[in-house]
Amino acid sequence: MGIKRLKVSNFKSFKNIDVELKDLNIIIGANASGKSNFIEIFRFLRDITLHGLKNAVSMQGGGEYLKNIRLSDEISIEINYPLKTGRIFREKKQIQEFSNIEYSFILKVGKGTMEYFVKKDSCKLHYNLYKLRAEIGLRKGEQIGNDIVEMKKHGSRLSLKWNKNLGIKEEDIIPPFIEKEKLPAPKLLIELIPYLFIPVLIEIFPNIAIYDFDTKLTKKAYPITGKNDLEENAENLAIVLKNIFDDRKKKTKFMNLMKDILPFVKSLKIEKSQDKSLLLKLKETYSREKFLPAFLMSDGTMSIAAIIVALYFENRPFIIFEEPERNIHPSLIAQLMEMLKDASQNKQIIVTTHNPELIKYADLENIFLVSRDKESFSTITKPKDNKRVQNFLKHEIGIDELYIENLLEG
Amino acid sequence: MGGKNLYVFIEGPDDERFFKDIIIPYFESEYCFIKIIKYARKKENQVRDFIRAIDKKRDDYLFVSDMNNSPCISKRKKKILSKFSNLAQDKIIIVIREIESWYLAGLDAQKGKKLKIKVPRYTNDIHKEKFESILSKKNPNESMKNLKIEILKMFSIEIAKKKNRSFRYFAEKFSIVE
Repeated sequence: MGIKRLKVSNFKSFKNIDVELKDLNIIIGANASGKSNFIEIFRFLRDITLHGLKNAVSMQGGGEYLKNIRLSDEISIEINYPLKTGRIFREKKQIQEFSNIEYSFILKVGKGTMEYFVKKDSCKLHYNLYKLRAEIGLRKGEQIGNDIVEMKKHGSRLSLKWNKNLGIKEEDIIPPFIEKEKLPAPKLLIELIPYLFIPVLIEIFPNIAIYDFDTKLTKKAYPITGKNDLEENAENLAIVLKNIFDDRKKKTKFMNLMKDILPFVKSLKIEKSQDKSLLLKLKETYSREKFLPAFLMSDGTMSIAAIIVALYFENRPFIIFEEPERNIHPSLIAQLMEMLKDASQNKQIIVTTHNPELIKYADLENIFLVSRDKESFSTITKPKDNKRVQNFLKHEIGIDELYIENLLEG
Repeated sequence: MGGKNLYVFIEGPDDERFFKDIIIPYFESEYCFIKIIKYARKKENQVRDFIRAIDKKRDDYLFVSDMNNSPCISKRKKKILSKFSNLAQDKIIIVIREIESWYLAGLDAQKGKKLKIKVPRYTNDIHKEKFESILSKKNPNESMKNLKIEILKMFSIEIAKKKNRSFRYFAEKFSIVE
């Protein structure tokens, strides 16, 4: 399970939203409804952890474009993340098992583009404490208690609150080298996660990927010196596949998944040219024994290869796809949806789409509708909970048809 | 049956993969072309229209459905016929319980070991959730989809006939021999 609940106020076109996310989330909505702004929330969080708050605000066009132009000057973001992780204190013979993280911050934005300050920044870490039963292989025994560690940052000062009676010490929460009074002032707690003990957040936020594939770029030769992680536009697909193909087991898995959706694909290989660039080549059943260079391959084939890499070979717990079904034939959409469901067992996925076929094959509980309310603010709802929609569905009118006719709103 | 076409109505992608990889090759010599129609997300009248058109052209079809929680085959067929009244009863193939039981039936203990799957002696009671719990026991975090593809690479018709009675009935009805 990934991010469970997201509460956001005054962010771009949103006034107030409170969403319970699933492992797989299909985001639909009309043009200009605010789908992209919903994705921007995650981009903003990712950019804060990767580039710092100052740059993240700037990358959104500054404070004035981060907040809604019609609302107050306070932007708030709150995240709830259930955990299934823990750690062992061997000396104290205790097991600390984390159950939940609540992270929230409020930014107050001034009139100038880069005028903002952090009004609130807090992280609550819920945990249960157990006795360690070392004699039977480090298993947890009787529960000692439960508590919440609360970290709050005010300017450059970090305050901690927890139940000291349970035996948890300050150095168990923050490393001793951190001076609580001298933390960098304009930084948020999530910027400091490499130094603070906030499990999971360190894996999630910096690793959020927002894929929007450009198949034209994937067909070009790519320098051998590129990154091994798939770029968000998949321009380095050749180099990523080369590294996958170097591992026999991974190559088998990739080809299994590729042939399952595109049975005409016989083989794929990466060719190194004299100018030290890599080019993807494909052998199809139609081309007999000849390998075709990537620039002759279909856009759909390139899209599917990139989707498989992103879903099954990238070590990212949270990924977003912008219209992944582009270039893909409608008869393959059911398989694409099946693949998204399959991969969502191991990572949280958000997909934005306009495609009725993709909506048709999605489970109703995974569909989220972004629309404009009466005041023109973006809002996010679940069609599943809409009684009018339920009535149409009962009468055998498909969710895809309701979407086409704009009958999911309200 | 030369000159005829065959349409196989299946519920979703897992059935499609099973039929494409395992079953359809045995029918290929008998038909001009074979096409799969996924019906789970189609409207009832759409499916009826497909059947009507196929009947009119005097082509063949098979209608594959999971048994799910129905108490017996005849009740399941009756339920299907209540939705799709123009279906011929003998064209309905019931998979007991779900298609995952047919996947697992094609492996013996030795083949299962290669995929780190402890295969039960019989798979008649296997449904999707049970299947996934068997597979994920020694393959945590592995894609179910990839494991299903790997199972089909090792699938044996003759082993499946021994392990699953609805598969045996189907294979014998259409004289499918490995």
